Amino acid sequence: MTGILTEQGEEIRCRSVVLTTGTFLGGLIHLGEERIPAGRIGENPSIRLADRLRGMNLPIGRLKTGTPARLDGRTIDWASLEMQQADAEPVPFSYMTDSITVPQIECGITRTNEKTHQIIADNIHLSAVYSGQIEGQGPRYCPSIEDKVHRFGDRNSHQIFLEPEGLDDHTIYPNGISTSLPRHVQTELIASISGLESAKILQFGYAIEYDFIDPRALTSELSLKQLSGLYLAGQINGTTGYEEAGAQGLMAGVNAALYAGHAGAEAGQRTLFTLDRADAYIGVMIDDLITKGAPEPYRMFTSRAEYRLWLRADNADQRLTEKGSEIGCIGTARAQHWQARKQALDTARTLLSSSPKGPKQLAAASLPVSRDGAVKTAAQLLGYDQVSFEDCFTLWPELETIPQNLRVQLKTDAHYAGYLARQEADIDAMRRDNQLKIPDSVNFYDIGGLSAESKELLERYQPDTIGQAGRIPGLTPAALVAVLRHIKKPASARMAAGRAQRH
Amino acid sequence: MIISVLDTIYALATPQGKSAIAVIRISGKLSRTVPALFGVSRQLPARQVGYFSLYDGQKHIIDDVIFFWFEGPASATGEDMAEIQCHGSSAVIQDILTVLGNASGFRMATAGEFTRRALDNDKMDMTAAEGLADLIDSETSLQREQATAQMHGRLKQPVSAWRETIIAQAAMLESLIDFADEELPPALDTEMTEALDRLITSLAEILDDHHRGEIIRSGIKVAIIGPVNAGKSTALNALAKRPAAIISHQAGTTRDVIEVRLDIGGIPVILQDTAGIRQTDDDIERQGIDLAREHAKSADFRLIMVDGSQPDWQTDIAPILDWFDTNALIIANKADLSSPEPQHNRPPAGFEQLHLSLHRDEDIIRLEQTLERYLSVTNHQTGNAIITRARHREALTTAYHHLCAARQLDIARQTELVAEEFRAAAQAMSRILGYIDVEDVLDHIFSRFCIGK
Repeated sequence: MTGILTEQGEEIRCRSVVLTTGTFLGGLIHLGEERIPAGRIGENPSIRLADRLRGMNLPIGRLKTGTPARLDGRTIDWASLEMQQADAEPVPFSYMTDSITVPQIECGITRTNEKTHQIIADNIHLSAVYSGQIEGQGPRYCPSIEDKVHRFGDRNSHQIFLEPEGLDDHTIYPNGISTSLPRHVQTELIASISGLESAKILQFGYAIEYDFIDPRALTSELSLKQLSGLYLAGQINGTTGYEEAGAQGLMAGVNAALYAGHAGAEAGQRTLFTLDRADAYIGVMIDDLITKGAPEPYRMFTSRAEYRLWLRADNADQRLTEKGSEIGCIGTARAQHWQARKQALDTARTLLSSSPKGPKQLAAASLPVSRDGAVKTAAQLLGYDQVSFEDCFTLWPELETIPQNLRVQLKTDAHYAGYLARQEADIDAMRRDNQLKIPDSVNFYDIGGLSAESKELLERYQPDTIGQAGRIPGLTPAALVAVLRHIKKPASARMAAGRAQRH
Repeated sequence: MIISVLDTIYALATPQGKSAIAVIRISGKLSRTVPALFGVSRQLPARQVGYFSLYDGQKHIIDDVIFFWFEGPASATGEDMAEIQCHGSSAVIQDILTVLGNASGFRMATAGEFTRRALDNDKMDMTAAEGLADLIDSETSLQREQATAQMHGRLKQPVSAWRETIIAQAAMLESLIDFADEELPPALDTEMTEALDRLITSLAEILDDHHRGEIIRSGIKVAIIGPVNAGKSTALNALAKRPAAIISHQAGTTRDVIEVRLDIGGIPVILQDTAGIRQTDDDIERQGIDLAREHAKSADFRLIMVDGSQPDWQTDIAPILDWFDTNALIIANKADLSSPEPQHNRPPAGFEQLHLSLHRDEDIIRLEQTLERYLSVTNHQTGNAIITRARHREALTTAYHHLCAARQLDIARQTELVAEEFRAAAQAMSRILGYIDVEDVLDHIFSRFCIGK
């Protein structure tokens, strides 16, 4: 990696680059029968960059996404619609934000109806998705309105949220009716919906196809295995969604900066910044991507995280601030803020787990008593769904000193305590497996006692660790043991086995 | 030796030794080329039977055989497979195996390798493979029935169905968590509680099987216990119809535990002869008695053998009866000798007693019949156990506990915890069959609900 040459002939020399091409890479818009090469409406696609990547012999595929028409909010009959209010007390992402002061605005709710569905059914052959023009795989969880009508024929109505795009913008995003039907059908379709009878379309909806690189070609720091210094983030890695893209941008950016600072150093000697499946959702997503690839646009569902009860917004600072500090990504103010909070949490936890009370005292304070008559701490009592902090003040008045803003987290921890303890063992096992690196030099075809299918799977997925190999769909536990046995052999024995086997 | 899965493997499928016919099975991509190795030039299409003369390297005829081959994946292992049916002579078999062994790309199969390949090629699942192993090991008709049933999915079908249900319920929970904004069908709670109750009930029924599947698989343990010189070893020999244990009039002859495997009315029985119980200073004999006590406790059924001609036999066995519950039959032996007064000859409460003499053939038949009746009851022969191994029981018990824990939670308010319990339950089920992936849950959500704005 030596730098970038722009279309204008400009040369930018650098040691590392992050590509975040979104839907621009080889982008092609489909609108009815129209096919428009574009990154998004009115903007040119990245064609030469796509050609350059294809020239590198990377595993490239096509994905698809769609967007609904945009409406002029001033032409919508809001008075006839149900409204959804914003949260009365929006919860900030960060503990450093005390309260959210920007104005909150409401959304409208309307629905498709039988007439809408008839229009779609009559014209579905004109939809780019149904006419077979599109080769890219679209996400199952963001179906276009024609998909919804086609696949769920028993439903005669689908919900639409009318979301303002900005505080000082009339543009409305009608969430729920993404489509690639031709313009005249979209006009008819929108007009059939209650409240939108005379809505003006500012821009038509469309489907867009774009290139992505199979993320199994990436390392856990999001750089290409075959070209160190080149980092990829966002839709180019087969993901969809703002949070997914933002999270990868952060990880690729940090690692690209670390790389640039230590260019020339071997991978083992450089500082890498990676998170695992028990550190953060980011770790789950990146591990899924580089292990399983992206057969459809990847969205971060919480069900993908096996340690979901631990990966909570209320303990994000506890999980991640110190990791950020280690690589110099945490400012002084944030670091001090966390130190203070950490101390307060430690003090509170000590209070909660000291001076246990006997059954008589508990009963007198109308707190739950266990049948075996064992003593209980406040932490144990908070584990009961129905026991609140306030309920414990009679027996433990000192708990009143615990600041309000810590109580939610402490209550949640206590509530989940049994489950978290169980998960801890799983997390340890997962981390041990991830420590077992599979050397790059291993040729999976050389491993004895593996079925041809297992060998193919391993060659295709190229896992870096035993932990990753264990998450390959379809790989048997027996195959995993064979790989483990193989990598535990000294390198010389592995090479000899390889020669004999190939012979 | 380097073992490659790409090799074509072969093995004698019938027992070693003389027989009318012997069968050699071959699996792997070179299977169809086997006749050519024996100087047969004709190419035989798949699934046709050929009658060939096989020749060795020196152009000498080995044997006239039947040969046919199947094209994968439509075969037992999922690979190309062939079969040679030759005459069951040791020399013929040896010569054929030698030619195969010298051919490049062929090697003798390792133990279980045909089944292993069938598993790898998805021709069989884990439970079917276990059933097959049990079938080959089966010695009695009940064992055979149970093994065949497992091969044909008696375990797999309900477990797959439960796992499907759990995944379907988990998918509903996940949709409540991940897609809170969506229009989900109402009454998910009721539907889920009902499904959960049904699951818990069926699992409880399956688990409450008195371990009969495991017992049939490994055999019912019947211990013969009692005072010295009551005729325990004589009973063992009589039931085994051979002298398996040394018998003498000398008290304390049997010291170790002697086991014989029997087929009593189709029920596999492991009959155990134990040391006679008495006070002794002999260290070795005392160890034998300790062993007898352990076996009496761990057995599934006991024959308490006493010398019925002695007036005080009830006092002798009183301490023994404390070792276990009533699952036992008292045999008052030596009925051919003088009997004590009737008041001394009643069985202790809760026990049935059989008066007989092991010297009379008709009495031995009566003992066999009584034992069979008892074992059929112990065995709940009428029911069909689906659990045949500790591994199944462990996984199903784990699943059961997680489902019960889920039932205690409030689905609407503790959705994420219920989901956690479902996840653990599904994983336990999957341990019996294969494994779960989060994609199973997502697939279910997307096929059932219209998700996405």
